[in-house]
Amino acid sequence: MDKEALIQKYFEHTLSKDEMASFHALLVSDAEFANEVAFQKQLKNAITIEERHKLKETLRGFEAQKNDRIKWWYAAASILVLITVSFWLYNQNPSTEKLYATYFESYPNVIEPIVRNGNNQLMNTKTKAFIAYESKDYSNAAKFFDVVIDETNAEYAQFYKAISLMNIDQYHDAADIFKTSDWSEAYKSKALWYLALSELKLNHMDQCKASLKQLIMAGNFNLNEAKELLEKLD
Amino acid sequence: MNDESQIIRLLKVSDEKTIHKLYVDYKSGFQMFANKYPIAKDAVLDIYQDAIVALCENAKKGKLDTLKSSLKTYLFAIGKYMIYSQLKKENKTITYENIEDVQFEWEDIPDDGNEQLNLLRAVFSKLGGQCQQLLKLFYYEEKKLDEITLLLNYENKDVAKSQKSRCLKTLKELTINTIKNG
Repeated sequence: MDKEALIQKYFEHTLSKDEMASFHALLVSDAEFANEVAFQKQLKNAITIEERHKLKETLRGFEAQKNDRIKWWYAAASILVLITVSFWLYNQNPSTEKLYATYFESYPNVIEPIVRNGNNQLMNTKTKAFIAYESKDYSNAAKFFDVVIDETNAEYAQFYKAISLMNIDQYHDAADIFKTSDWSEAYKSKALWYLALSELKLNHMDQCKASLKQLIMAGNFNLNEAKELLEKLD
Repeated sequence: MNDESQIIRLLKVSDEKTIHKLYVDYKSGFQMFANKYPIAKDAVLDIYQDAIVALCENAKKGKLDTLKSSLKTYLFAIGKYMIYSQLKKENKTITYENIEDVQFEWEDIPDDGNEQLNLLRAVFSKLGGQCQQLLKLFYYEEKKLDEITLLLNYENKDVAKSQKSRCLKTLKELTINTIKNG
């Protein structure tokens, strides 16, 4: 059997016992033969590494695909948020924002003149509410006014609570209070004014204008501002 | 033909969809299995990929043609073997359990730093497609020349044999040229 056939059978794992013996004998005695075997073994290793490498790249690709899918979801979600926000901003007429800023001003505390005596423990909720209100701590003010409402159902507490809510961007809740409370004459027009501003901020233009018109008809509070604002909105 | 022998048939031809499905199907199971051993998470994923590579390689070599166990058992046995080798490398002592009786070949060939090997890899990629295919079938997939004659449509075994000799000759010449010019 020629040497080439021996080497071929070696790699095919088909050498017989005798052939195996000749193969090993040649490895020792024939340098050229040994070199050829070494070369082909090295080639086998090179091809093996190459093939393993390729397949492993494919497998790593599966992982990357999976990550890409996750990234895609994040990207899709981000775009959706972006679209929603842009849409909202777009619909939020910029002049509405400006007008609100121009006309809104918290109603001053005319109920409870605050005398600071440092004796906090003896303060009642009403005082605490107005202290918070005057120090622009509107979320606490709203909470304290809530307690006052529970205790006394006082109209002023409803009114100042609603103003506090406007200051912490809770325009819906504020508008609800202005709309639904059964206001006495002392508060009716003021409530209408602040309702109009809340509706303005909520971009409810029709309701805003309706409130302003009602206010102008009553004519006893912020008449000029109401007319001016109505004009700008038309 | 049952499902698993169908899968093995597809693995033999490197069907990517089949490999992908197999990869995904057993991945989390394997990770849980590997969790029993003191081994890093990254290393587990690497070992899992190597085990899949070994599975495909053995399928190509025909070692799975008479598979008695399920593919999953086979894959996990390879994985376990690889985990043990990894732990041995790190000198970690654990209680070694017997590895299920499955037949597979896996020679760990370190591929970095061996210049001769890297040179051969580079030169091999310059060979013509026909030669690459023939040599790949013979050396990597361990197909016999008779099978290759059929697979590559050679007239007879002698044609295949002389084609193989020519390919090896070209490869040697290319190697010498690369060394001279490099």
